[in-house]
Amino acid sequence: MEEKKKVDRVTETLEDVKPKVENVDNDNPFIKDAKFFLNEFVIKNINRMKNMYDILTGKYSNKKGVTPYEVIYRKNRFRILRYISNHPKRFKVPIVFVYALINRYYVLDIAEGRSLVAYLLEKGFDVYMVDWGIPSKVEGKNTIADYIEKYLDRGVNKIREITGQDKVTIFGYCLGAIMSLIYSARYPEKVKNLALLTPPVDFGGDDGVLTVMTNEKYLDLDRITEYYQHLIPADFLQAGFDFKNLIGTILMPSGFWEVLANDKALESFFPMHHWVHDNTPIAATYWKEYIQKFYRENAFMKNSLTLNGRKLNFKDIKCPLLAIAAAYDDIVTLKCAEGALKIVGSEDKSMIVKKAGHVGVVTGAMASKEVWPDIYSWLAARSERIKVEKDNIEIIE
Amino acid sequence: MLEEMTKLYQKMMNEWAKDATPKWFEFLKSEPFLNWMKILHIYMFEGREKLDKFMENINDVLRLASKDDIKDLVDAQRLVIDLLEEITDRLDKIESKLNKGGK
Repeated sequence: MEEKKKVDRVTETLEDVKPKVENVDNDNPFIKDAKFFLNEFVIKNINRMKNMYDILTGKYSNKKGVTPYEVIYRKNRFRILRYISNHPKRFKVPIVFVYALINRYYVLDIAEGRSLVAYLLEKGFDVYMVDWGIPSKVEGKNTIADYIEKYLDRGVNKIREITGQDKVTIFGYCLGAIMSLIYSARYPEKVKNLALLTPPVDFGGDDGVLTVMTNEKYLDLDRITEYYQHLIPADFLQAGFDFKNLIGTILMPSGFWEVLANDKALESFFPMHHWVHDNTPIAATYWKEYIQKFYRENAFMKNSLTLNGRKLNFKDIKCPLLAIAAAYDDIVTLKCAEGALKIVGSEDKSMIVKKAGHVGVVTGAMASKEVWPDIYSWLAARSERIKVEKDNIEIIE
Repeated sequence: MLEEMTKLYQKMMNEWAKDATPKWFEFLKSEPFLNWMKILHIYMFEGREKLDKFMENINDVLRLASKDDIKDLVDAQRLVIDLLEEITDRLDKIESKLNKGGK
């Protein structure tokens, strides 16, 4: 009993002293600085050293996507990937992601918790990815028509064959959104839904940096393609983007110093850093055609695109359309993306605008909370559900 | 004191980035920069062409084949194989159609 009283007395004394000590700490600038110094310069630096060791021992090596897949179709270096999932299938219509021909496809499956692919698999979709691959020199003469008719269409046919579905959902991102639009106009009978993420469509009066820099007055496309002949190297394309992002590049060391002390931030930082610098060359003929027809001639808005002599009419696209744009995007401006809704003949068309940048809109911290659920709701409402029969009762999963 | 100084530095950096980005974009879109860019890429490619020709001459003299040359040949070979496979597939399809038709 006596012992308990003693313990209680000590506890009471400590409780009395604690706020006094805290008050002393808060008012005393020396102690405040010492605490700050301990946290900022000692603890954080120890963490930085630990993380630096992890980096050097390869903990953050480039994984190129986190979801397992199988290759179901291959043509030269072009591949169609089918993502493997343990989650039950709930929707019949497969989703085909069409990524850009520059940079790599795995940005949509960049890391744990930041993968749109994994999210859609978890929701019960069958997900496929178009990997355009790193083109070889002999593919340098490939045109937009070649990529649509000889590569993408054959890949989509393979998916239709495997799944037994006549139509697929095409989901294009950036330059891949352009390819998706063209594909949907060329083969409307094969497209059930069309979703476009930051689609560069309307270049008329667009004052984006890239649009101004590719103006024919200043950029000599013939001279560049004449020099490179087959492929426009990744370094050349990346130099343009790096130059545009000069301010970010200047601030990079300071930002990285902060990231280095934070384990969670580092896990997100490295996959993105690898991806940004994992560029691919692009077929010279395709690149020239892309800048000429879209940036300079605004072929989508003028409905003047031809594919191997066949005139395309974007009003032929009647399937549901979803366009997602990013308000802070300096690669595809909001006005440029809005064009997608104007050119198609669809009655069911919607647009989502999010406060994010070009890549952050699909991989950023807000994407999983704000963008992915919107994408899922839109797709779920337009993708046929798998019916399961149990005890003679039809259940819609 | 230390904490305030650190916060002030971060605030200044953020404000600088916020102000500098639109100014940088305006600069990239300005006439003088775009003209400079045009001159640069025209002269740069001329210079690189001369250098490439010079290197080609050296390679000719030394009779060296680079890894890239071999890669290109392999790529070309792969494309021809793909093409042949595609032609064979098409012929098979036509043949099977003919057999079904009995003619």
